Amino acid sequence: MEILGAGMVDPRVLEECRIDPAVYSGFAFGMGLDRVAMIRYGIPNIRMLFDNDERLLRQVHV
Amino acid sequence: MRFSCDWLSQYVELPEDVEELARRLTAAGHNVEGIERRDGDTLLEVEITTNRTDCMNHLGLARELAVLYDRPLHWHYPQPEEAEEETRAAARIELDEPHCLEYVARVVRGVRVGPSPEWLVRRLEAVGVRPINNVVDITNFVLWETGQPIHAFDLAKLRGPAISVRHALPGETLVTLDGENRELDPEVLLIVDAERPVALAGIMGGLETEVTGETSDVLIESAHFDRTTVRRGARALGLHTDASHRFERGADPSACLPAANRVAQLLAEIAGGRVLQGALTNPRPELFGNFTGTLDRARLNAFAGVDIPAADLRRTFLGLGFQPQDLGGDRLRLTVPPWRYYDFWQRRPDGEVYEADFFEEAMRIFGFENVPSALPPLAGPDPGSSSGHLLRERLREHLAAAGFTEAITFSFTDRGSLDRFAAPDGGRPVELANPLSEQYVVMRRSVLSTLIESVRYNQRRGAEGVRLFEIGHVFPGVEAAEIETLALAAGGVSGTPWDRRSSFDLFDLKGVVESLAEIFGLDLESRPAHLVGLIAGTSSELVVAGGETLGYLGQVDDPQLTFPIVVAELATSVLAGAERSIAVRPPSRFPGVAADLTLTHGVEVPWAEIAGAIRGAGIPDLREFGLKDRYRGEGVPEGAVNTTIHFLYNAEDRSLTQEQVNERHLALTEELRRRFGWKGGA
Repeated sequence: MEILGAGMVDPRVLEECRIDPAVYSGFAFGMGLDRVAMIRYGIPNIRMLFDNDERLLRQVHV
Repeated sequence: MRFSCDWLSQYVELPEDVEELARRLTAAGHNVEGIERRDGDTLLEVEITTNRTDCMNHLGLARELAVLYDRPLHWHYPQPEEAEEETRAAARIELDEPHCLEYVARVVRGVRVGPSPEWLVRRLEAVGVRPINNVVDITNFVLWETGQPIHAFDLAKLRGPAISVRHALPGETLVTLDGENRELDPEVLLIVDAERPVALAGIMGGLETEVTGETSDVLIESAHFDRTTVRRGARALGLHTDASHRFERGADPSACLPAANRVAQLLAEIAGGRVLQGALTNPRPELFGNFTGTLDRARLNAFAGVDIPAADLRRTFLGLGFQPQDLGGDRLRLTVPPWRYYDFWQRRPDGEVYEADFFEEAMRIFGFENVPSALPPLAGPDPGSSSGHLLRERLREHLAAAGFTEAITFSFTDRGSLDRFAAPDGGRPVELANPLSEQYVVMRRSVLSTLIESVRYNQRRGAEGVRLFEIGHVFPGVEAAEIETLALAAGGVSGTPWDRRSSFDLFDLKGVVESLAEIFGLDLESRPAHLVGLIAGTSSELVVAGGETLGYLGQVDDPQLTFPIVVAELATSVLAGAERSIAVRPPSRFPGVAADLTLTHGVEVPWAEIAGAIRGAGIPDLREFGLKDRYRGEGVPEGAVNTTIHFLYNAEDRSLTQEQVNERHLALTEELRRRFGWKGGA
């Protein structure tokens, strides 16, 4: 399972957004928060995070 | 994709420590997912990204390792020893199909087909390929060695005079090597002899012309096909092979002839064949044009936040095959090697390779792990948490204490759910440009419209009670800004009998809403209203002093719910916007006098209206009042209800006499009886 996927923004993308890549550089990151939660709470299926089954929700304490 | 360390070490000296090697490869963009030791060999499972077809073979990965470890790559394509007889006398190729970019053929006569030598079997087994016979095994070996897909035909079974390439005709069929009789779609590119299809170009050979135990003369095909054509053909046939996998993603257009030579040499060595003189070929390097660009070291270092020495940079690009040329002033002119053409396909409008693509090469070889970590230099003090965040946290804590659990649902929904509950009108609904499915095509206008699905989910799984809340955004329409709301949905029983288990009803929900109003200092008034999705008579709008609408509550009108569900949806901005007066009113030093009043009135009169009338009556020294009891039944006329109201009279500066209290209480009683008193059946 991959988490914390991140990287430098390709300067071509900045150009398309009319941002000068010679001045600015971009850093993009998707934390994969739901995956981190799965690891932390031992949740086997990512869908369970969106089912809102109260039997599961009531066990979660942040 | 599987790699054998034993095989790799044929081309480059590997470090002792395989774990360390795996880390370096991963840091360079080739994620090593597994290491397995088997029969004296070490097998690496490496995830090769689709843009790196050049590394989907042992030589390609060895080249990366040679650069990473600054070690020489021991490899050159062989030139086979050739016989007198010329290839062009034995076979002919006729090409006018633009989707075949190059077609190289060599002929080897007098091969002895049989089992492969042990070393070859070992190589193929390491990468999971089943050995068949020496000729076929050699073609597979060369694919896993160089990345170039090769096919071997039995020359005697090809019908002359020439081989060519064309798209399939309607109704045409071919029995492929796997024994399947395939109906061919015109999308599919074919290799054909003078009479019939003999192979699916870039995908799989035909059964009739395959190399068998009787084969003596072999025609080696090593070609380069248009990647989109191969992908479409493979998809139309539902076929995926090692060859199509590489062609679809972009093979090395310069490898056709050298790989054919490699196969010819191995056929001579292993199967005792005679390689005919010359190869049939039609190289067209002009098809690919120019793949050059300039790398400025100062710009690279500024982008990467590191200092990569000029000598390292030069060595990196030399090793990767980019033929660096020094332009002076720390600038390098680089030429992309053919095996990376498809990876560098997108170029600048002026045809130059984007510098960022060179940055990537330089950085992954330098090692991303060698780039120091630094926090971005953000100036100024820590702004702390936003007011919105603090508000949501307060709501969460309060509702959790009230026995609710937080749910999160998707903000998009289906068209049918859009108007399921009341929502502000913002014009045309906000539709998704690229919906994932019919279920998610439009942005919700109320959080309840999606939260109710979670209620149903719990009911379907046998829950006896539900208490959910969600804080989320709603999108009233294209002409209105999104709004944050708090939705509550509850019903059924919770707890054990010992916990005095009871059903959660509308009054419980109202209590929760009022407790929220209380902590935010809101004076709340509920006004009965007919609202979509809610049972008439249970629903009301919640209005705060000043007339702003906080939201609404009521019982859901849905016969499919297994137990009644009461819901509310509140605008969080209205909760947050309340300005509570902090001034206090000191308690009176003098005793107060309590009095009750029982008012018989029609059931349709809401408490809010009576309370409003009491407040509006302007009775002096009335310190507080409240609902004490409501009773319907024996002694109360049908259609009426007895409401007992509790009053406390208390002056600030003196003790009230009983007469003074009676006077005030009587005035109030008369006023209320006049306005609301029961006057018989309506």
